[in-house]
Amino acid sequence: MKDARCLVPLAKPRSVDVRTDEDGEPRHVRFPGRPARRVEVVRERWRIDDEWWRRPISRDYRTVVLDDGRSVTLFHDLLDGRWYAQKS
Amino acid sequence: MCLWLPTFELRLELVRSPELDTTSVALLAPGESVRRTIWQVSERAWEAGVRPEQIVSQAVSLCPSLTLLEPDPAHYEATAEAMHESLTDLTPIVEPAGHGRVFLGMDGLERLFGSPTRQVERALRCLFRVFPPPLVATTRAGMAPGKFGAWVAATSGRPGEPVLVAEENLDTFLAPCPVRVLPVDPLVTQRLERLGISTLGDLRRLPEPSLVAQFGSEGRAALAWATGRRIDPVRPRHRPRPIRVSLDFPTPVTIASTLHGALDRLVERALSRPARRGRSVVGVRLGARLEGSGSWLVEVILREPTSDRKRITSPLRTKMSISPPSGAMEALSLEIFQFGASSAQKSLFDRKEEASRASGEGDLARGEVPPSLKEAVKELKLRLGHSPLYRVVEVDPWSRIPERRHALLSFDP
Repeated sequence: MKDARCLVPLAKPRSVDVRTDEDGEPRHVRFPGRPARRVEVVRERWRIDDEWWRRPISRDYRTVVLDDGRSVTLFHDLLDGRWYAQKS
Repeated sequence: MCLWLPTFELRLELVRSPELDTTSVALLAPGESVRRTIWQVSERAWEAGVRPEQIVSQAVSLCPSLTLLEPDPAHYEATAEAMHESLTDLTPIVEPAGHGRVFLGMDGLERLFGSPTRQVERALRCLFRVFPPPLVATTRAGMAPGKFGAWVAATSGRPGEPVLVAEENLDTFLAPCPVRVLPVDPLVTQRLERLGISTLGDLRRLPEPSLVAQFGSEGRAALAWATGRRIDPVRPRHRPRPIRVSLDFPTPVTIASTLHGALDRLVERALSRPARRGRSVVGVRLGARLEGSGSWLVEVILREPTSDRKRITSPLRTKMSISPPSGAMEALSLEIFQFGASSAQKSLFDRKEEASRASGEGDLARGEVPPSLKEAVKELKLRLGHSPLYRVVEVDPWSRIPERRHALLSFDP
């Protein structure tokens, strides 16, 4: 954050490793530098398809509860196929 | 009233060494160790092309016979102090403005000292007690309502010919003066000149909203000075009795570790003085008498009032390494000249601000930045080169995409 003259977006997505089951649902999540955590339950699910007129966004969001009790928002980027965590 | 001794410091040197009076002399700028520059030049040196802020090699190449003098800040300060003391016999309202310039509040003294001309004469007579006649003869004096008018009057006069401006004539007196006399940012006056506004008379023809739009508050202040509407009163200096401690070395010292040890001891001694109790330290001056002749002086205004030894010695050590003395030290002295309240640590946001934040009407929310926060950001910028503080701003708070909702914006008041 050295160049302080521009806007720095908050809640930027962070790339995470996610292992999914055969239905594509997240089963294990591993944040960079941390041990993997088991997903206890998927609480909510929604999809965002937006900004098709400039840089399309297509995300499949889930709010999951991990085995340490934390609630985390994850999304599967349907354009690049990767998983991200995001503060919503 | 304004009294002004141009090139005050150089003239003091010439008083000490009269044999140099007819030669080309230049005084070196204080506080520099590697790249020395010229601070003040004598008339002869000026004729040879030597100018202030030139680097030494350039000045010497222009004037090979140039005599360079090391500055003696302790001597200048002591002499200026003596000058101010002598002027307090005339009026208690004496405001030093640095480098041989002093303002005197003369309101209500007509019946005591007579006409303005007589008052100027009395002031010059006070200077004779401190300076030799040739130096007093170079003093310029100006008298006008307010500090700005008096300063312009002093600069437009010639030595020995004081310029006296009555209140009703201030307007016409200021009109032909160049905009450069305005005490505003030089960039403002440069821009005015580029726009063809060269005198205060030209400036006052401009509408105030246009000036404010172009130059902000400085534009408004410039117009107020130019029209003679703004009359700044002379503010008497408040000088608490300083605490002075000193240490004589048995042999001249140059070793940094010895000097640091001596500095620590001096600070300890100064802090333990009964006169210091109940007060914290804000301004501190470290001086030295150098081997042979000459002196060395550094001054530090602390970021916040403190009574902690390390917090006082640390900036002094830094100053010592940035502008080291030019020779070995025979004696080291420390002076605490500015004091703060006993409770040293102030919070970044004071109680008033906390209360207003609690009630949802924070100054920051209204776009007003508390001075303490401004000062903190300034310090951080000096240290880091940029402001590391940010404020959260709403970009698109109802966006479905989380990273579009809020962003950080640099907080740089």
